[in-house]
Order: sequence, then structure tokens, then C-alpha cells
Amino acid sequence: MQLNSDRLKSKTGKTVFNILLFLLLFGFCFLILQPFVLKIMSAIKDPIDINDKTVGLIPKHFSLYYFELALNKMNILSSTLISFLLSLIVSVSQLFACTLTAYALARLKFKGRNLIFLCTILVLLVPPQAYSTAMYMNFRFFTFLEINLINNPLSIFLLSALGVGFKSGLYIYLLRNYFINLPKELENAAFVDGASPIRTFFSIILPNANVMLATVFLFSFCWQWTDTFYSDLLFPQMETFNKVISGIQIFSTDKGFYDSYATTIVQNAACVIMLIPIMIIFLACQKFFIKSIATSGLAN
Amino acid sequence: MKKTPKSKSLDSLQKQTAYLFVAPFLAGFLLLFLPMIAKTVFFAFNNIKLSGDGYTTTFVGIDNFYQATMVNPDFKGQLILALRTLATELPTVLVLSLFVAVILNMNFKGVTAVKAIFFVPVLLATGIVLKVEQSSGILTQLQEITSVTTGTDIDMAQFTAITSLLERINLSPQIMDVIVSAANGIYNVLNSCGVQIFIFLAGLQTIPTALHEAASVEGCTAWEFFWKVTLPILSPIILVNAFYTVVDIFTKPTNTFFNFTDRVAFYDNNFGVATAMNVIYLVVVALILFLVWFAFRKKIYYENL
Repeated sequence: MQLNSDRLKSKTGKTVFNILLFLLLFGFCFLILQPFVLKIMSAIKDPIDINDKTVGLIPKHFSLYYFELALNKMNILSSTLISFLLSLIVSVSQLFACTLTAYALARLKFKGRNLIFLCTILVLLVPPQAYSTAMYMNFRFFTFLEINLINNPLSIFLLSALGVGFKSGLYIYLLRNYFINLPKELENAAFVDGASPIRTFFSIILPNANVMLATVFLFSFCWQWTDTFYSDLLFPQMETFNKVISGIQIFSTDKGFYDSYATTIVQNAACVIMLIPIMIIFLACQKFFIKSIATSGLAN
Repeated sequence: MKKTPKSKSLDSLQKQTAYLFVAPFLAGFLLLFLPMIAKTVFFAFNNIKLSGDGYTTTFVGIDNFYQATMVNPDFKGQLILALRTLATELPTVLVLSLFVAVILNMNFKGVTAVKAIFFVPVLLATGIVLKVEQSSGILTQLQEITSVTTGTDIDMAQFTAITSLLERINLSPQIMDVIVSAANGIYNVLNSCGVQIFIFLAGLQTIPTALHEAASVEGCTAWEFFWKVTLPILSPIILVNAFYTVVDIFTKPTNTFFNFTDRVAFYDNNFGVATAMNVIYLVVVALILFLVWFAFRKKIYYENL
């Protein structure tokens, strides 16, 4: 019983339904995309236009002035490099840990399976903000050797590689759901062919799951790219995007206008710059990625 | 088939390697996660002083909790605000994402593009981008610059328009408040829906087409099908989504409660009291989640999980 217009017999009924649907979806999409459009439109204006009340969305004078300011203030090279490294570390190690755990929870029968699943739900449910103080203390005086791991990527590497990183619970849940829906014959066939479970996992299960793996990788990478929580807590001195963009303060510009909102515009321009790599990845993988939503991970 | 002593069955093989597979997670859970939670509870009962090399803890019993609830002027307000936000956003997000998921489950021209658009806020409107939007929104309101499009909160003009319209109908101010905040909040709600839509979509796809056909043979309308078949099948997913939404609302950088406790911790240098606040918050949320689960547990339909 799909919700569609097939059951409406009359043609006008069909058209009205389709029009209403179109309007609703258009409204939603407009609401979602509007901030980004606004950001970009205001960032490509010249400061003259900002002060000019007759200029609406479309700028009268195009200028990349604000983008230049943003680039200068952002230390673009070092912040991109550092954010890229952090995001890569986090996403790869989370992918590794979460896939292993999810597969075991989904397809391998062992004692304590339900208990461990409850533990992953627990990890999902407790927001890291709640134990932020303990996390800070933990990594500031790590183990009995009291090593200071603040400003060291090792802290977040440990968290991610051991399955308790940012939103790890969610990834484990999604992957587990995916693995549960794979055909049950796969392991049996592999076993008959003489493969050990580990071999089965790497040679058969993983290639079947590459859509879901890519999705988890993308989520993890993007969320770490724009992350504020771990940046503020564990990497306060490292030049992450969070630190750099939050630190943008513009008191006067050399164009001589009273720019009380220059900070806002430059920060938004910096956000746009920061999001460009993500948008490129997203658009490139879009088909691949939307397919995972479409098939919801069914292998066939 | 006789099992020879040397070969093992698939089940026992799986049992052995299973522990290997979950080893990373177990290590993280036992060595990192649990100790941090335990430390959090421990800190809540202590006074923490950071010295050059380490930190010292002095046991103060429930003094931190007393300070949090009785002495600190802002805590109660912040907690109530956080809970009220939760109460309004949670059902809205769930209902809206279910609605959108049902629509996106249809096949119409451009459905892929719409799916992509709904996904944009999940990846892009998070973290620092959200923080910047919120802070610049406040700035715009403070300076009352309505003609400057700074790419921020878009509500100002709509806010006044909706309010004046509703005033003419002579609605009671409370109802008007709810409606206006719902209308304004639609942007926030839409942005919070992304992952939930994904999860619901995945769930909707698991409804076998055989069920659709059987239902239409029996003469079931789409509406009846939704309530009698789709919702029960989705009920465990709705619960999971509810839990995830609760957590998601709390972990947004726009959630002021944790900003507040962070300030207490790092600026007032009062780690103990801040931790006590966090613990109170966690307990309250856990209670709410438990109540939700308890209220709905009879209605959840489990099918060979």
C-alpha cells in the first residue's frame, strides 16, 4: 500500500495530490537549503552592498573580499591538514571497530551476545557531554603513568578504535541491522568451502557491505570534520576548524565601513570554505550513497 | 553426518572467533567507557582541585548536589528549559521524520534529489556550522539588522508576521506561543530529522511486498494499512529512534545545558558541582527514557529479532 496517487481514480484528484506533494516537498527543501544559499550569497557581496539597504539576495557588486578575509583568518593550510588527519584517523578506526562488533552481534552466536548488545545501546544513549569532565581527566592523566594526552590525536584514536568514539553506538546499530538482513546462506556457503569465520568476514561479508561501510565512513568523516565537542575538550590548542572559525574576530576592515557584522559574514564564509571538501565528496558519492538509503542495505 | 574429531562445526567456530571480533569494543567499554562513567559518579561526590601535576579529590558527600540544586541560581532553570525543549522537539521530530520517510518511500520523479537534499543537514548543518549560525542569529537580533542577509536565523520577519496574524484571531497567548514556536522551530526540527529519516526508511523497506498485496486483496485502505501493519512493524524502530533523538538533542552544540555545566566546570573551576549537575541530568533523562519504554512496551511488536 504505497502512498501514491494510483488509487485516486479521477485525473484531477491525481493532479491535486501531486501538486500538494510537490508544494510540501518544495517547502521543506527550501527551508533546508535556504541557510546555505544565504551564506553563499552574502559572502560574495562587496561590503558596499551589505550596507546598502536596496540590495537583497542578489549582490550588485560581486567581490570575494569576505572570502579572502576568511581564508586569511583561517590559516587554511594547517587547519585543513589537521582536520583532515583527525577525521581520517577517526573514521577509519571507527569503521574498523564498529564493523567487527556489529558483525559479531548480528551473525555470530555466542554467550553474552545480548549483554554486549545492551552495552552498545548504553554507549549510544549516554551523551559524551555528560562525562566530559571525566574524559578530560582521563586523558590529561592517562593511566597510572599520568601521560598528558591532551592535544594528542592518540586520545581520540583510542576512543574510536575501541568502539566508544563519537556516535559509535549509532554505527554499530546501523551496521548490525545491515548484517542481519544479509542472506543467511553466505556463511554456510563459505564454511562448506572451507573458509574460517575471519576469512569469511573479510572476503565475503565485507564486499557485500561496501555501501553501508561507505555510509558509515562518510558520516564519521563529516561529523568529525565539523565537530566542536572533541575539539574543544581534547584538542584546545590544535588548529582544528572549530578553533579557527570560533576565533574569528573582525573589528575593522580596510574598506573603511563600520562592519559590526563582518565577523558574522566572515565566519559564515569560513564555514562555506570548510564545507567545500565535504560537499565535493558528498556529490561524488551521492549516487552510491543514496542507493544505500534506497536499498536499506538489502544485498539483492 | 558424523563429526570427525578434527573438524569443528560452524557454530563452535563462530563461537570462538566471536570473542575476537568483539574484543576491541569490549576493551573500549571496560577500559575507557565504564571507568569514565564511574569516575563521573565519583567526581560528583567530591571536590576537585587541579594542581600542576594532577588533581586532588576531597570527599564532600552530597554537598555538590546540594550546591547544584539549592545554591546555584541557574541550574534549575537550565534543567527545566532543557527538559521542555526535549518534550516539544522529541514528538515533533519523530512524527515529521516518519511522515517524510513515508513520502520518500514512494517512487516519484526526483525522489533521489529530495533524499539528497534531506541529507544535507545531517552532514553539513552540524557542529561548528550550527554554532556559528546560532551565535550570528543572536547577533542579528541584538542589532536589529533586518536588511542584512548574513546567512543566519531566518525567523525574524516570519516571527512578527505569524504573531500579528494570530493576534487577530484572538487566540489565547499560550496556544499562540506554542504555534509560533512550532512554526519557528520547523527549521530546527527539519535539521534534526536526517538520521531518523534514514532509519525509518530502512525500516519501511523491510515491509515485504507480499504484505502489501495480501492487504490490497483483503480490501485494506492505505490509511488502515498504515495503522494496522506499518506502525506495528516499525514500533521497535520508533523506540530506537526516540532514544537516538533524545541523545541527539542533547549532543547538539546548541544545547545550552551542557554549555552551562561546562562553564561551571572550566570557568568557575568547580568540576565537582558541574559533574553533579551532569549526573542529575543523566538520571532525569534515564528516568524519562525508562518511562517512555515502560509506557509503550506492550505495544512494541517484536518479530524474530
